[in-house]
Amino acid sequence: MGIFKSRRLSPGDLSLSFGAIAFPVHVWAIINILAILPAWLLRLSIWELAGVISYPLVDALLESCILWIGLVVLSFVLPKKWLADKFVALSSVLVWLLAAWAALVQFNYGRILQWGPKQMLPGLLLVAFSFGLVFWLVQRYGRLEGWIKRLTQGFVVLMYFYMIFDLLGMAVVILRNL
Amino acid sequence: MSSPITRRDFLKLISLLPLCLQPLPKIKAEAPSSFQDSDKQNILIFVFDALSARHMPVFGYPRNTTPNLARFAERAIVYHSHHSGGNFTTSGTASLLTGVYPWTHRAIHLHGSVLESFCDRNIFSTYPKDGFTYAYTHNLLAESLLQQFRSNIDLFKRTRELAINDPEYSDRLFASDYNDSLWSEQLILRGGETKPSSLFGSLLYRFLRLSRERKIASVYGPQFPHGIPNLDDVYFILEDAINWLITELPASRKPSLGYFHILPPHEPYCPRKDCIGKFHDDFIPIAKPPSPFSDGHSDEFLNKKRMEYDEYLAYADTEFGRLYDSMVQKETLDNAIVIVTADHGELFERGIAGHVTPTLYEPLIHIPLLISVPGQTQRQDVYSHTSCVDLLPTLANLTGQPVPGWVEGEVLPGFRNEPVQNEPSVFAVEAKSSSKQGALKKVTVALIKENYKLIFYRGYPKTPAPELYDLSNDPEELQDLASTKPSIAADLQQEIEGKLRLTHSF
Repeated sequence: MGIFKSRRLSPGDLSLSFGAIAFPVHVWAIINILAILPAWLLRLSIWELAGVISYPLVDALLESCILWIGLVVLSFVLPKKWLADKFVALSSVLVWLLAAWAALVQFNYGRILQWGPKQMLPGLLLVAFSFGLVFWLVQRYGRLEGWIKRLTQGFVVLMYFYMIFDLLGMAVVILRNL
Repeated sequence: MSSPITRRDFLKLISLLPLCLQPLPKIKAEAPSSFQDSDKQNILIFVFDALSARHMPVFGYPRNTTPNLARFAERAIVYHSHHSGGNFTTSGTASLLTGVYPWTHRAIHLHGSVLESFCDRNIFSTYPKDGFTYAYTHNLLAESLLQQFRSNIDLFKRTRELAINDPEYSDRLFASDYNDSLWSEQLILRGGETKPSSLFGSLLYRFLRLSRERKIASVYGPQFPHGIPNLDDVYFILEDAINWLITELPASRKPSLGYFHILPPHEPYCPRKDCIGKFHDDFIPIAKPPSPFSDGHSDEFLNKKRMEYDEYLAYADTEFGRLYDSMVQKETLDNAIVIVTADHGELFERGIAGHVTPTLYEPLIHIPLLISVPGQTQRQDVYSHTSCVDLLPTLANLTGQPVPGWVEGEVLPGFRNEPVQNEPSVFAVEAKSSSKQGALKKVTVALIKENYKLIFYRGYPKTPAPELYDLSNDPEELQDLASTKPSIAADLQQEIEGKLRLTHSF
């Protein structure tokens, strides 16, 4: 049990990291919901619209939770100084970087699909290098950690905003499937 | 003063609200066993998705794409001017199944659904209550509609049951909210009109899909070198569906109504190996002027796509031939009304390939209708204009049911008890960009009446002028007569506008 005591993350740190993780996931979901909304407005009643918007919001909440839980578990599994000591800064920045790479893949999916091992290998090495670099920078520069932490505080406000809509969405999904 | 409704009561009532808005699906009880031994006739409806009559030798196409359907036609009533209600699966299938035009049922969008009022007004609900109804489709767009009619379908075979791979989750996880959860699933995992809304989960889904596709390709690739037949990530081979039909048809109960909606020759065109190269011939289709909605495809490209489509159609026909032989051998045709038709056609001219277009030229809406009645040994040809909305009243008439007042079709010639005074007008509607609930502001309507066809456009950024064709002398729609016969064009346009007004669409 000692490991849990020594690495216990404060509720403040947990909410800061969740807010930071939920941010890219929700922004991506909301942008794409808004992009399809005009087409949906043509075909759906208000109640149907509430339904089709609710599912992606619930999915965004689930995705955020899975990532967040995964990182919390990692903070217990990995050596303390790797992640647990700078949990907020590292978890946030690693998820943002992951989100950036994921968005890049989403925009270039068709092209990447055509890639052979010759193109794929350098791509994967670049991704791995970017994670290594970011990890090293946060570990090396304390000021960077502070700066990231301050940034995540801004995301907590947004997190409450998402959570309201996500929970409303969850209620709609449940009601529609009763 | 105490409130008559407590907060708890209010919350309870709120939770019941969706139940009022969305009736829960009711599954019809199995047909009584007394009908299993009945001598009443069965009805079998085969729908080929995107099968244009203009590509069938039965209707004059020079390539021998459908020799087996031609064999079937020799013992059927052949309707030479049969038309779909729309130019894509949702609108065309909904019209076929409800007996009303898209401006009434309002399934006018991709994956669209009919108005709630039609959930119990369809070909299955008008079938005698003591009969047995069953349905299957490869196409998820058609499955969305069948889901709406599910309370009237005794055996609803899911798409995945006869597919190699169906990565759909909505029907498993959210069965009572199928249509809307399916739309959400499309957005979350697959995107389409936009990127998928799931940033990470969709990538995982795509990775898994890719690995599944590779597995499928390793098994079926040699048989299907141009790709395994698929649509919306559902992979299948037609052989599986036909095998199921061959096994099930003789065992089906009587009286029964079966609806089978198979995907080929719908794009992507993935013919079986033995059908590839069948049409490397000298046939050059008539070059036609570009449509106002042309996608800019060259004739060379269109002819190549046409050949691929014809090859895929030949594959569908080969499999139908296997089914037909089985039906002949098992004498299924002797006690069943067998109907072969399509939900819409396909176009390879005027700069357009496929059927996702606002236009309504004949290759898009001229579909086959072949009806074989028990004991029929000779072909009968009908040249009157008919519509897919005529099928429901015809079947109601054949099964001794009253023709419902809400249908917009007529009993088909060949089955009418009394001759009609005037041949009914036939319509086709395209309104993907209009609102389901409100006015059809952006719409194309085709009206076919006597010798003429008017294509009327409304609400497009550069709305083209109406086009008028004399189908009896110009079946290829080459000469627009709108300027030389303005009074005929005006009369037909007036009729269209009158119809749109009647259906509260303005």
